[in-house]
Amino acid sequence: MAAAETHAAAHATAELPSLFEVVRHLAGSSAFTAWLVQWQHLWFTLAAMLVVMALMYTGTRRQALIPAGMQNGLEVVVDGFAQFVCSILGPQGRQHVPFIGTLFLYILIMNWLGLIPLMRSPTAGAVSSPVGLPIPLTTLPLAVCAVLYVHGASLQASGLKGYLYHFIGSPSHLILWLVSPLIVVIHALGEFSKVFSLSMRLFGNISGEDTLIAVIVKQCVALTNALHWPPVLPLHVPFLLLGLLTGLVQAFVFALLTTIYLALMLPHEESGEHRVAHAG
Amino acid sequence: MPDGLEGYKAWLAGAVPLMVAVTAFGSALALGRAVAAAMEATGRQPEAAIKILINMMAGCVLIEALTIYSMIVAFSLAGKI
Repeated sequence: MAAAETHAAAHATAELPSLFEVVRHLAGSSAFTAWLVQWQHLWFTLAAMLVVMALMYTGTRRQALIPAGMQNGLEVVVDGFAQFVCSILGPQGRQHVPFIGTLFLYILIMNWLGLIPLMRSPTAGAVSSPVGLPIPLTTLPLAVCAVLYVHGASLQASGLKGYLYHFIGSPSHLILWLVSPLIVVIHALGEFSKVFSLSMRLFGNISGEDTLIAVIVKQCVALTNALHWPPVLPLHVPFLLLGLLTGLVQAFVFALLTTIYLALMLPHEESGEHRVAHAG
Repeated sequence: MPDGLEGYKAWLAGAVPLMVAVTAFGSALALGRAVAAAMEATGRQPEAAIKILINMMAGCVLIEALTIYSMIVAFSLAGKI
């Protein structure tokens, strides 16, 4: 606990101890416990994956035509999400619902994992880089996966020529062809900024929320120590509820932004309303 | 003027909280405008309140993300003081 405190003080951010740090404190630091603590975000990611899989398994075990219980709840979530994605992408969005829905559920469970005592959000983990900005451990790969999926889906939907044509800005005039190298650079920078903003937004929000809860718990401990009361007052419960809301909103926004990037990169279908407008 | 080998720490200690405060101020202005527009839209059509709320949430998160970037820079610089 003292080592974690000084470590946290050196980085100027507070953190509540996680299960593996408690084990290392109780069992003494050996190679095994040090290895457990070093990869703790990976273990919590594993826990999140198991929770999502268990949720889906119990919901689809006995599929009835009229759903009840867990299957009903899961159908509400899945159908609501499919309707939401199709409202942005159109009927062709049906094939992208599994990826975006899994992204949403996975990030939601990972965000909420940090609110359970003795557990930590994998999305809030980061290593400090020599540049100064922290490199998020989980959100950066997630953002890279989402952007790569968007590019792959666009390649599959428009073919290689259509994808490259969209990348140079869809030029239809000679002047647009002349400025297309500039547009390529802007597009590439935009893709990198998408990866950066997706990962940093999720990481900053969740790690900020966890830091807030840790600081409030420290204040509660100091307060009850000053009042000489043996038990610690759970005064951080309102911030746990705020953390629930923030985790939900951030997971939703990650999925929403992936859907919007898809809508931007996929070929725009000519719908019936377009033809009516052109004819009128 | 703080100078010398450790002089940058004095500059950092003054500049980093100022940076976060200015970013928060700008973000608060923008969020106020977004929420006010959402309130007005809900007043015009109360049946669409949920849809307006969802769109407002999405806009607010994007605006808030800019303050979060500044907070991340503040955390990484605060370790150097």
